[in-house]
Amino acid sequence: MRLLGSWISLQIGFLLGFGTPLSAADAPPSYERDVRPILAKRCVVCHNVKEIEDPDVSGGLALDSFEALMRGTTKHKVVVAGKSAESELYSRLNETDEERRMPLSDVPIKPLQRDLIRRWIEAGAPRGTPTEVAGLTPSKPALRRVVRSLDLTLSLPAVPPNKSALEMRLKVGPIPGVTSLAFGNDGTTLAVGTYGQIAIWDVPKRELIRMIDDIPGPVLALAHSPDGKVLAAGAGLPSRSGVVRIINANDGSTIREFDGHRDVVSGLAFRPDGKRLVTGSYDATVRFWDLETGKASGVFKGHSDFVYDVAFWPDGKSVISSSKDRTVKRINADSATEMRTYGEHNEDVLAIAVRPDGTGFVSAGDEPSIRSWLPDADKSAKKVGVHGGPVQQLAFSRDGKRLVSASGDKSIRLFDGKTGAHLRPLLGPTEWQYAVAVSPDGRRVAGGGWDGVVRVWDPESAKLEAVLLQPPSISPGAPAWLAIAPDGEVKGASDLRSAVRWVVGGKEVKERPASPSKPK
Amino acid sequence: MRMRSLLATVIVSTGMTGVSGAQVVKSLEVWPSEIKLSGPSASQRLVVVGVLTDGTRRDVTGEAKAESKSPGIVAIDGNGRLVPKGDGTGSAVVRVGNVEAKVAVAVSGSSIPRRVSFRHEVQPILTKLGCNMGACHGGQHGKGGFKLSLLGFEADPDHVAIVKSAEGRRVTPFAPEESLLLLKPTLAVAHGGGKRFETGSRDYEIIRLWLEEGAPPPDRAESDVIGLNVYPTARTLRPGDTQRLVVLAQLSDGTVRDVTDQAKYDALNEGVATVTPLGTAKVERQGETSVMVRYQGHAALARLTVPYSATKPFEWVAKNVIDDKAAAKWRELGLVPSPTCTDAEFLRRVMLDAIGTTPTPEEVETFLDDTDPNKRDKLVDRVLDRSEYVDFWTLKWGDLLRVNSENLGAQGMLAFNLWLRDAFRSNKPFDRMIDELVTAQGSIFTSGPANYFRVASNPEDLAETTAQLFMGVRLQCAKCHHHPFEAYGQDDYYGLAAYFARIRTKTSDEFGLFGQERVIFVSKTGEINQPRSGKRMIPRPLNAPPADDPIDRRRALARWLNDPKNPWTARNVVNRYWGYLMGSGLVNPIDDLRATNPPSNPELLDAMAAEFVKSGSDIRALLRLILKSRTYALSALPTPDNRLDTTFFTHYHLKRLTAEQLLDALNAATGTTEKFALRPEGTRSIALPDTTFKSYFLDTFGRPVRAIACECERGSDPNLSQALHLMNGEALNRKINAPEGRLAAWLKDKSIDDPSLVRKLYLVTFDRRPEPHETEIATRLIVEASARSQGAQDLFWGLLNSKEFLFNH
Repeated sequence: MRLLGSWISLQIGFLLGFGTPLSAADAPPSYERDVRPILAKRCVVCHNVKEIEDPDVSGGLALDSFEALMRGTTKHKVVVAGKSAESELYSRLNETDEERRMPLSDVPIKPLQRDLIRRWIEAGAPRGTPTEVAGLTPSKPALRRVVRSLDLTLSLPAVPPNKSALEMRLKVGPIPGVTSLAFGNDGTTLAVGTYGQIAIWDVPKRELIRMIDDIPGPVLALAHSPDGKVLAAGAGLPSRSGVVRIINANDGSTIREFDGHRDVVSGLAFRPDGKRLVTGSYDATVRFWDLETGKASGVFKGHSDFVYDVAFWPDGKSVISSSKDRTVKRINADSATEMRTYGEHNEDVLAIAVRPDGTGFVSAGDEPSIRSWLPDADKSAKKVGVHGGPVQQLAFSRDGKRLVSASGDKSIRLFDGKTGAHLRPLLGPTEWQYAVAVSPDGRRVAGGGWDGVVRVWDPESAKLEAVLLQPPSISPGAPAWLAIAPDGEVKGASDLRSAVRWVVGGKEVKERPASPSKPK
Repeated sequence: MRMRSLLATVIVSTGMTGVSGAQVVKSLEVWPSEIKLSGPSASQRLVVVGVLTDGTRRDVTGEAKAESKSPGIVAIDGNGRLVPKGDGTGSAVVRVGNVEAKVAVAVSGSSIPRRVSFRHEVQPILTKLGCNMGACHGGQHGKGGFKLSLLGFEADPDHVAIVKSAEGRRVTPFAPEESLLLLKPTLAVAHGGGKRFETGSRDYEIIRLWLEEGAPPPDRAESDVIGLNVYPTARTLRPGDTQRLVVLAQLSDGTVRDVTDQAKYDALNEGVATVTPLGTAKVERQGETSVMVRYQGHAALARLTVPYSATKPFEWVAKNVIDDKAAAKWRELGLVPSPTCTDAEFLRRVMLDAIGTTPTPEEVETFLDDTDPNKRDKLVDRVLDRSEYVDFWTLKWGDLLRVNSENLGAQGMLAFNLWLRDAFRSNKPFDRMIDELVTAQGSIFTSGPANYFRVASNPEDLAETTAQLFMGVRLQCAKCHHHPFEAYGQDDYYGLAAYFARIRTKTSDEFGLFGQERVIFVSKTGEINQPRSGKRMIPRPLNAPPADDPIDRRRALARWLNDPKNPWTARNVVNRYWGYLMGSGLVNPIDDLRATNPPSNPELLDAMAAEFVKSGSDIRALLRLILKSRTYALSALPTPDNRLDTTFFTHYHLKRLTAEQLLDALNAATGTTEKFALRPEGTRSIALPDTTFKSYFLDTFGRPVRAIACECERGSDPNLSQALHLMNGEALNRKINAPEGRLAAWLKDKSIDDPSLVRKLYLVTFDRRPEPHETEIATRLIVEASARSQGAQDLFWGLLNSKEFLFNH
């Protein structure tokens, strides 16, 4: 009965195909319309550019772009236009040997789809009209836009003589999260990385100096070179590309980009002599770059999952890396080989920082206690448990006297760098904090996180100095920024400024309450 | 006779199809009959069943057209769903041909701004599409760096994993379409889990909208799902029929939500019916099954009944309530029971089932020659009073309670064993057994039940064991995560474990140091915390308010277990004994009672449980009830009218003899005995106090090691070494040829001629007299053999290796 049924449907299919060709069958198959969806569904999980360097997975073949498909492997082409019998792309689908048939260890591709690939090759393997698919072009930055007018609410600390907290509201959300922060050598400029952007601020003036807004994906890592002349940024499109951009800190121009990572670059650090850069990425690799020649100088593949953070040892000879694989590793910076593994963590290790005097390092992550390590110890020397959520970033002041942390418990905290004693939280954050930075002179600490708000404090007095925002532009073309002083003075784009509402005693008012007299 | 009944079937069935082709819809039944739409995103699907002119019903949801009669209140969308237009009450009309039905609609909250709920809209999509299943992101370590809670029971950590972790890698609310959360499942970016939905699909749009709103976290004030209803709840269908289902979730704020598109569907018996991921059931063949519907930790069942044929009359004199309820089910399903088994079959069956023992040739002859019309009932009474009753049920419960000298030491094991023997000898009521076990204290050497707290020693194991043994509830899943099919979570698990948080063990003053004597006692303090929330748990039975006792928490638990209102205890024991005697439970596995694993005959289970409670938890009375029923006495041979049935006990289920039954039966047949270490020669294997006595035979045939409190530990699966052991093994040959055995004696006895020898061999193996043609063939086998002894041994070997000997039938 079943046999009969399929025989009938075959007959019908044959008659239709013969008598009345369907319009789709008129045009020869094209890559974009017909072949790409099949490859995307069944092949590219292994055969993609991310895996191309791992022959065990990809066999050196990527099938996730037209160019890569036509290029074939390093040894030979897999598509010979017009000759399906000579095209491995097609022949491998029909293998009877299960060791060779693709997709490996999976059900074969359906006969109709295989035939479509055969006809496409026979037709000369035409590309067809590319259809714009979000995310498939690795270098295209995502568009940021005002999706919804969600209220962003900010509380400012009580300032005399009002002696009451101020609250302001602004319909700009959702704002991209702050994912990286770096102070310039002068201690006054601050680079803020968000999705697709780096903003350079003058903190004491509370003004935007520059906006770099052509970066693909979230900027997860920022660092200034030891001489302060160069800013390095790590970014990329999740699951697709990794970007390392070397930027002239004076004018924001791009000096060069390093290509190699296949997923977002999550951590980076300069060698103390400024001649090398190390980067870590969600693609599980750590890579070394020569800033003088502009070439890759090594790759470390010893981690088995996302690399979250990297840091140079002060002598420049080794690097510390932390990973989702629950380990911290020390890597020889010249040979890119593993020196040792610190395996005490039971969860992801999100953050590490090396002591400026080279006597050890600290680590933390989804387990929120901060562990302090001596370089050759098998176990951490000390654990400080203050945070109540994942610790996302750690940083030492240049003199090593202070340690700061950013955490998913919505706090930025200050510690004694030597003893590890918790000194104080820096108040203000109401959302998950991702990034923290200390100025080289130790006089400023900046923190930011999921809600896109940057706060700068004086760490010793714990006083707020400024709140910085980079919302999507209300008026396209104009740089969109807002800088708010603790007393409520607002600087920034006029359209954004005029959209600010103030709340007093639970009621919204148009004007900021009477400006308090400025303290001397 | 046979011809005529066949003919009748043909006429009826052609009649049915012939008429149903011309049937027209006479009236409509619409579910839900009353519709409440709450909130701007509410919608409601309908199920429409047509009542045909002959009274039969058909799902006509696909042909039905809905029309709003109150356009300001309600509208019909492109998928036939009712959607709100404005607050108020109104109605819609459903039409098939020229028949219509009216449904009342009440709309409220339609103008509240639309907000996507993470808990009620986003998470159910992830669950429905399998994102959070164990093999994918729901696994212990997640997949590809992305971990969700198993089946989405934990909203807060899931929100963090999606929105916050990895520095917001997976979502970009300011550019929703660029979110990895949408790019991966649409395969715009390579995804190990393949394509899960299409760009622009309903699921995609809900997630995109939620991202646009800033990916808000689960709202703590939001109402919870407190129950689930599926419509229709029960339908009688024919093979090939389909039935659309509609699922409503009841929320704690009193509103209902249509979750037909979000719920997950599983047919419990896919041989009878299958169900699509969107909730349309399709009947494959006759029988009965339920479609299990799951949503947010709740489950509901829709029962689909597919009669085997048009109901046929059959002659049936019920002996007790079991027969009433079993027959009612057969009539509902168009089944006809097999005839009653023969006297010889009944004798062997009752003795094996009730006391694990085969009858002697003398018992067989006496029973067969007995002309008392009540001889079967009298046999049952007699058998239950025999001493092997104590052996056999002590063995069974020894398995379940894990009575084992390796855990308990020889003294502890014997104390436990003797307590069980005493309980079965004196027919201790089952509620008293539970009470003595659950509240036991004292030395494990002198108090048998105290060993219950040595077998499982920590609160978690004790909670699992107690739930499994006395309630038939498998609670293990809820230790680490919400039970996937049941309403139990970690709070329930640890609430039950709290009853055992104060049990302590110390070594006894007298024999502690060298004798390993332990004393179980109740401490004044001791608590247990739920590991995820860190909350201290107050003792609480399953699905019940907290219950405590000032002296010993466990007394409150025992009271609750033995409360006649407890829904599990009586059903559990009744179902177990039904399973032991009938070859399979009304619920299977027989120790897995849950709402989503319904009994094949609920009325029968309930009736037996009620009888059990009424008898004062009398186990022997329960055995008598089953053994004396006519249902128990049905032949094992199926008839054409019930051969497709494997579930409704229209014929007796074959059972392979258990390891102990088989070894004892072999010894009884051949007249040999067994020697177990430290036991007198001739000890029956059903009388062994634990399972550590060395026996290759018993281990090969599935004797459990008593390591887990699960019925599944005793193996009944056939394997090659069993076959080889019986067919080629030395052990069997030695028993057949034993000089002190039966056959050797018979061969020496000159008064036994060949036919008598055959008769004797049949009586000791098949426990019946041979048929004349069997005598003839078997005699020829002996006569034609090279030597008489050779022929007799071959025949004996053949009988012992035949199914009629190896199975209880």
